[in-house]
Amino acid sequence: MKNKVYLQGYKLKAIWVILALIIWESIARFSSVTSLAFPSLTLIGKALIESIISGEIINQMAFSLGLIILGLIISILLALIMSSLSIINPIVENLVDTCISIFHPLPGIALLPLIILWIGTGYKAVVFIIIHSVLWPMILNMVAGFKAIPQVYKKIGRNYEFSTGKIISKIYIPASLPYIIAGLKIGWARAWRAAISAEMIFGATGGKGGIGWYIFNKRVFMDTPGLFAGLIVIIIIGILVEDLAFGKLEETTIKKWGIS
Amino acid sequence: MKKIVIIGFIFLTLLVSACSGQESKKEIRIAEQYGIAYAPVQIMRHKAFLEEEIPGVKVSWEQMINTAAIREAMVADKLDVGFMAIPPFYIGWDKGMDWKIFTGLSTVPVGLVASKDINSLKDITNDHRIALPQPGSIQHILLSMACDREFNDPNKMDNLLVTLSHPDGMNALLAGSEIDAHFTSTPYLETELKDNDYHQILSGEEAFGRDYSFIVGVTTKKFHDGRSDLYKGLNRAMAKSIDFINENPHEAAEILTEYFDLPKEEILEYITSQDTNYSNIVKGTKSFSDFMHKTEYIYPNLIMI
Amino acid sequence: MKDIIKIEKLTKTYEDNIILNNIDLTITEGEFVCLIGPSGEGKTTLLNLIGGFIEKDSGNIKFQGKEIRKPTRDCIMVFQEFDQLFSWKNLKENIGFPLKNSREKLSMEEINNLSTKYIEMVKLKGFENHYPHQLSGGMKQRVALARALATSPKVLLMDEPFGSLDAQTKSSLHSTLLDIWGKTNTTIIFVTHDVREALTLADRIVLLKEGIIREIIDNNEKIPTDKKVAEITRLL
Repeated sequence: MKNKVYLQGYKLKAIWVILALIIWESIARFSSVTSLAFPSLTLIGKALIESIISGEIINQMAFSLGLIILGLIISILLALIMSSLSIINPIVENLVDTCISIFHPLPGIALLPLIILWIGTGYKAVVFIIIHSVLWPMILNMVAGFKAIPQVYKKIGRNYEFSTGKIISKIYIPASLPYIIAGLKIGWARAWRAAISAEMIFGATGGKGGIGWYIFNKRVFMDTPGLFAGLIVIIIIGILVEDLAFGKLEETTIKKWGIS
Repeated sequence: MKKIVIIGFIFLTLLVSACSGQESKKEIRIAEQYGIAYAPVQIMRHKAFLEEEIPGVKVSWEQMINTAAIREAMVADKLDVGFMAIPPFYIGWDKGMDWKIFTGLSTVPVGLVASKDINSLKDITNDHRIALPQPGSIQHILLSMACDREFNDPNKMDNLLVTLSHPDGMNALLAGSEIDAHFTSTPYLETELKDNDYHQILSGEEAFGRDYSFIVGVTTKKFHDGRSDLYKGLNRAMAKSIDFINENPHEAAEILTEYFDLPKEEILEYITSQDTNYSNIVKGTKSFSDFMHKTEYIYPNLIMI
Repeated sequence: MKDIIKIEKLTKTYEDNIILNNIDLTITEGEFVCLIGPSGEGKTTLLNLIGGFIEKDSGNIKFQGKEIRKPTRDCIMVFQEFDQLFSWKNLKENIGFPLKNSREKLSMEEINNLSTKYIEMVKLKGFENHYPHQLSGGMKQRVALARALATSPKVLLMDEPFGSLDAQTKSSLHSTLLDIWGKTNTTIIFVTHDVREALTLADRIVLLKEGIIREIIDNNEKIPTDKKVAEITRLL
């Protein structure tokens, strides 16, 4: 029964997409709108296939994903350290809280001029912006997760004379996994947006600028179909990561454990 | 299903209505751009030359962030007149934009500024990074021209480019960490050259081979053909503004202080400099388009519909 | 019989309320003691003090002659809450958890054997791969018991572990617990407010009321007759 509902949801979504494509194509073909603003699906498809064959779009996407994964890994580690410390020590907790109040509302892009002065313009700057976008919500989620852990878990950890490190790694982290996964989802979404925006501003170094730069470049050369090809690839990756990767992660962990 | 059709219909109507602009009013929509190179535009605005030449005209000044935005606004029929360098004009034209250059505007100092350990293009290695506004910009094309002449390879430096706006590029260069050279123009060029650690290794003229129009005025064919009264008035107002700057530089500098965050003396220095020229003659289009064909930045035979 | 836990002149206050007032109690090895009393009268506090989870105000609590200052593996606590099981581990992994993380490095085989032994002891064979959310409340408490026993602690501290279960489940758990107690010779200190439960399980029933020990009742027969239940209930 559940599967059926699921399937119907997907079918309906497919209908919406097809409908949107039909409307798109009719506007492109039958209205007076220039193809510079509304390229036909054929042109977009051609641009997409060409850039896949030439490897350009794949390379740029791989570059962006590489930066995002690097940024995510660093953010997760930093968030783990800072959340753990702030659970142990109230002074650190206060410091971390202060940092979050200051930096969390600050969009990474607003820091751009400073980042150029301090770090420069290369991939390090993009990674820095990704970390900034991911770290604060991640810490918020982790600390919330740690605080939501049942008291008994902590008592059990003490009962077996675990060190603080062991309590955190063996009990706190798995117990707060629903929060950590939620944080990871927010982190991914924010990293993805941050990376693309940063790439659109920083441009490429050595020809490698990621998918954001790819789109920027298409805009500069007024290649609208190519621009749409970039957007399509971004949508596809977004769906793949959110539905498949996170779906799978949740299925094998918190759904299986009944704590989602 | 019926609902879906209705929603689709509404969507379609909205889109179509959004794309059709208003017609036949006496209005000129013109891009508002700032900088020494755009000084005649500010003068035209301040002295209301357009209103003087075309009595009863309504002038809308539209804030535009960059060349790409101007092109897009013209495609969407939200803008009649803008100002840019010749290469971005050709890129749009190549992609099927029906538009034309209606006037020359200015030539200002343009150059490649590098740290002192780089003395010429030959000293630039694969480890160096060059900042410039964006691929396809006049700075990029000038650099390609220089590379073509020097190394017979227009794309030699393409992998060293970092896209940065003029102020960001200047900051990055002067920070001295990652950017080794910056292709820029007035007043960033002069500011960078004040720092003794940097010097100019290539000027725009050296790259191009002779003088050329740095900024030109562009307008849509629709405006040119459909509103020839406005178009002629625009040209007259433009010429008047350029003449005004050339004939009354002191007064012009005084006016420009209201628009630029610079002292009058400095503005005067920039607009009367030997390397700055305001003229409605368009120079260099043929060389730019020939070079851009040759290097395949534009494709003369491929017209997309 | 040797003394295993010796409490002398123990006092604990909490925000001006005297929870425990100058208590003396000695528990011998292998004994099954029930702490009984009205709720909020210090039973759980006393258990937590013995476990080392909270600090006393004055007096002594000694385990085998040594002052208890913090929780140790010698006295393992079993809680009332069903979520004391780790939701991310299946039944067998939950029981193996303290073994895996013990100081004496056990081999996988030893861990496996011990887990299996205690799964059988609490009669949960066949459920090894179930996750806690797939188990009933009674089963969860059986797993908690098995996990507590896995490291062979000297003392089991049980804080109303069957308090949320229905009568039938409770009684089957009682027989399992007594069975295990007989086999392992573990000292058990069991907190409850259920008089019948205390009479079913304990050798001695310690009646706590208003911060002092009111009565210590010997209960060798372990048969909860209505008369005995009524007698003790009157004292509460």
